[in-house]
Amino acid sequence: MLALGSISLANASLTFDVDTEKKGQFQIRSDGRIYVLEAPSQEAMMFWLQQLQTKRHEYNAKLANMTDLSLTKPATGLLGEEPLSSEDQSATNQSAASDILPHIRPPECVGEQTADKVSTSGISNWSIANITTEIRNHLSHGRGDGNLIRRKQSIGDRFSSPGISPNASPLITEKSPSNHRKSSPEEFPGKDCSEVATEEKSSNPHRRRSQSKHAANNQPQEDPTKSLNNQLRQATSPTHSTKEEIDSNENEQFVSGNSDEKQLLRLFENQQRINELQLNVKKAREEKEDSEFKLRVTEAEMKSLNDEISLVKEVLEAKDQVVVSLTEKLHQYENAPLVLTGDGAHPQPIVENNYFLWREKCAAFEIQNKFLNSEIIGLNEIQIAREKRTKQLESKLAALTARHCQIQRKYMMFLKNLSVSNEESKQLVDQLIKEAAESDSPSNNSLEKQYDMFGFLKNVDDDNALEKYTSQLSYYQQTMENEVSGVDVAIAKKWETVMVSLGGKSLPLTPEIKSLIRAGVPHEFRSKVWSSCVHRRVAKFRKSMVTDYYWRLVNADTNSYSLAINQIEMDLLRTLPNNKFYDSRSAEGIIKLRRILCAYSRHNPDIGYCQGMNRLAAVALLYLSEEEAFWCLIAIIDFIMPTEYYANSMLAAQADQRVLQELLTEKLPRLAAHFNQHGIELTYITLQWFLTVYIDNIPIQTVFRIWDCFLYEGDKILFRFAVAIFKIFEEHFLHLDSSTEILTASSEMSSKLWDVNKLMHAAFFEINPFPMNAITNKRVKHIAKLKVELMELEKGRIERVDSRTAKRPVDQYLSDEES
Amino acid sequence: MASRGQPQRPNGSGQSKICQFKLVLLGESAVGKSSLVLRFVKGQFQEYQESTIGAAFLTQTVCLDDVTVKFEIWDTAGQENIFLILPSFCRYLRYHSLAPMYYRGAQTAIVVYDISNAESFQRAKAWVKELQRQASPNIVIALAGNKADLANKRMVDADEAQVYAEENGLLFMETSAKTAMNVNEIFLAIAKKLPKSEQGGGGAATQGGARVVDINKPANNSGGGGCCK
Repeated sequence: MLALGSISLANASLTFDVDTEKKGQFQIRSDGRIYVLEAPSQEAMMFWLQQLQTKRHEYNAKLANMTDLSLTKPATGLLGEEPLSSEDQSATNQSAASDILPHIRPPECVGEQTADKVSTSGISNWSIANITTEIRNHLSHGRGDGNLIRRKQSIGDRFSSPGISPNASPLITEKSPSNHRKSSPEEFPGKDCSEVATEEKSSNPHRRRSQSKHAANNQPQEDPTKSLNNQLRQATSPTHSTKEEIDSNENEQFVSGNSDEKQLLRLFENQQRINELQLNVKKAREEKEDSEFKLRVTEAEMKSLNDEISLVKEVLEAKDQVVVSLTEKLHQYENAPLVLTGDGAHPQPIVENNYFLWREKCAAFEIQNKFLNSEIIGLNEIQIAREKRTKQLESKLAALTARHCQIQRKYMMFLKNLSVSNEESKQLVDQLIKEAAESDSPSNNSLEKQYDMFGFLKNVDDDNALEKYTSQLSYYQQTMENEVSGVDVAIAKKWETVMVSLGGKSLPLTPEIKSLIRAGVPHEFRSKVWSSCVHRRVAKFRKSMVTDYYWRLVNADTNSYSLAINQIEMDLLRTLPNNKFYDSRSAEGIIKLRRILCAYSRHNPDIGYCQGMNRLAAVALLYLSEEEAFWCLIAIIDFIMPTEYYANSMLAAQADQRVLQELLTEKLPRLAAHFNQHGIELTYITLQWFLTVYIDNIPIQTVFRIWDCFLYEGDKILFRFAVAIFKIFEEHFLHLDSSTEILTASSEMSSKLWDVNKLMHAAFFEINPFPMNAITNKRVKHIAKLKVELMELEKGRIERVDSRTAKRPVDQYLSDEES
Repeated sequence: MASRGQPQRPNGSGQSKICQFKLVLLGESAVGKSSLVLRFVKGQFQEYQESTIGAAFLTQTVCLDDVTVKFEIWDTAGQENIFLILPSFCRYLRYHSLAPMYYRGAQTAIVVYDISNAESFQRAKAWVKELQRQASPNIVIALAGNKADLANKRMVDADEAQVYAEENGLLFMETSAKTAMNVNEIFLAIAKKLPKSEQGGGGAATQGGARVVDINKPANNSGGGGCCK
């Protein structure tokens, strides 16, 4: 089969231009390329476009069906095939398209020979603009062309060859639109082609009528002629047989010799029969003549009709010529309208011509508009189908991943048990565990350094790697299951509505939003939610400052050396060393982090820089722009946290540890007593949680969830989560009976906090009620106590500290905290 | 795992008694306190170790001839960025007000400085002074000149440090967490120097050889104890 090239239709969009010189020119945009094709006429082009749309639709429908089928298949097939991600769709589609092609081949297809024949004549009409593209053009798309060809023949030959049943043509006409992948009108030279197309489109009623008239006349005439001939033949054949009979009878007579009366009688009878038959023959002859006459008449009629046709054709040609000449004239007018109007001689025709021209153009635009509308609808349908399919595949994948995690977890448990029970095989099992943990965690496939979606290095480092990995697996399992059950989707949908209705405004403080935040902010909305929360807290203060406050701070005496800046430099690379945005001096995050921290140290020289702030800024930077992250730092330190959290003796931070101690005694009395018994001070465990807002070895997904609530609800969240974490590990701690064990367990505890939902449930349900005013009261009490203690320590120097803190510029802007 | 530079692990429940000691690491920020501990406890090293905020708790065991010494290590935050020039700077240090909590009751301390950073040596001296004044009277103090691998950037003379250590009765070693040089050795030397028979260190009410060590008394006595008098 001759192939010029092929164009994948699966993702193609079709369009054509009204204004081009070439009326039949249209474009197929596929896989980032534009193919310009030209049909001999506009009608033909429209026919082509329609067919292309139909084919594309069919293909996509088929594709969707295929996916539905494969979804019910077992895991291996689907996983092996790898679901279609949007990037590699085009490639797969191409192959899929060729897979599908055979199905489209209609049974009436005349065969490849015809297709070849057609294509050779058709090539000349192709104008392929983008030669560099690999055009293979198997004219397989011309499969339907067979039909066209045949139809053309049947139309053309109808009058001369009665061999083809005229019934065939309506059948084909009916079939062809649905069966063509691409029909190719261009493949018929000149007029014939347009004739075909015209009939197809039935946009030229005149011609169609005349043709059908012919067909109608022809049909009844042809049939009687044939039947008469047959009759004649039938009539003559008995005559022959009777003649033979007579002969044989005469022979008999001759042979028998001695004739008697009986024989005479028989002879007579025979004679009579002969006479009868001869009469019949005569009649038949007459009939034959009659029908021959009729035939002649019919033939004459046919001739006249043929004449009529040629006449009509001539007329048409003449009309065409007239049209051409008119168009030429029109063109002339168009080209020289000014001259003519200057003449003033033919104002009427010009107006008419213009009117005609505009009408035509208008009509063309209308057609284009209609076509483009249908194109849009078609593409939209395809898009929707694709999305649906992707979703199906995703949920399938999630289900499988969940299962995978489950199995992996069981495997790990098994290995762990094995390593406990059998000392000999311990080494082997250890090795296996290490391998398993290193080999795969669900979402990584690449071989290079592996980072998670937040840029954190995935590593398996320490002793409790196994436990960490197991909890990680159960987390993944849970997320995947959530995805399958649609819990996340439901939340995401709610968020979508909230964000849409919000527009540019900041998140209002309502119970609905609060519970939605607690349910989890989707990754894609986190930037907006965070910056909105920050905005709510700092807006007033920000307005009171110059608009480019941050950049002024950044650019302020950059050469000056200060202790804060020195310390910042020391800490930059020690902030989130496992995150790719912060892992080298030239990393994007490091540069921004330096500017933010320096700016803050200039904004608030009393605090300057305090370790922990670097982590706050670094995490803020993961979701916020540099300037927003700076304001986020201000929101946290200056507005959300109590004063003196990071400054001086960190009085408030110390006080909060004692507040927490009290809360723990209220909420988890057994654990508090247990800690007390072993002399464990909570500060050992919790101070870093408060200073860094939980950016302390806690899985980052969990940290983000805590931050969502923290930025929205405020510092009360710090206490909620601290108590919740202890609640989760309460039983575990109660089983440990030495301070060393408890402290070791507590340092390992944070890295196990993979189960966000469990933590959220503990923080917001299990430890309720959790009134803020109780916390505030306790804070006041402990800050006062601590001040007294510090006074003892500091003796006279405390006064200086106080006078410094009293002068803090931002106190007046403190936002109203929820209570 | 195999490269864990820790030969002294207790093999099974030995004949020997187990002594627990509380060890605190002090020193300026970024001198490598956490790195030393990580090398000693896990045999690991990270070029950029997350800065310690507050304190971290780890344990490691060292086997001597007849005793097993279990270190409870408090790795503290090092930031002290203001008022370094003041005579009584410790009062104004960021974590200073927290530090007593960690070194109170500590029988031993490692004061770390960075040999490529002269300032950190001065700071180490200040810490020694602070400990001698305020921590347990019998506290065993070791001075570690870390980052010995950065010999080409050396700013602190080893002899000078040695002299200072001898004058103040300190154990002294130059160490490198990166190359593991002298890391186990310094802990081993401390273990040897600690009094094993009766645990009398400081104000902490510790019991001899027992597994449970009372780290300190509960919070309400932060003004008392051996602090700032």
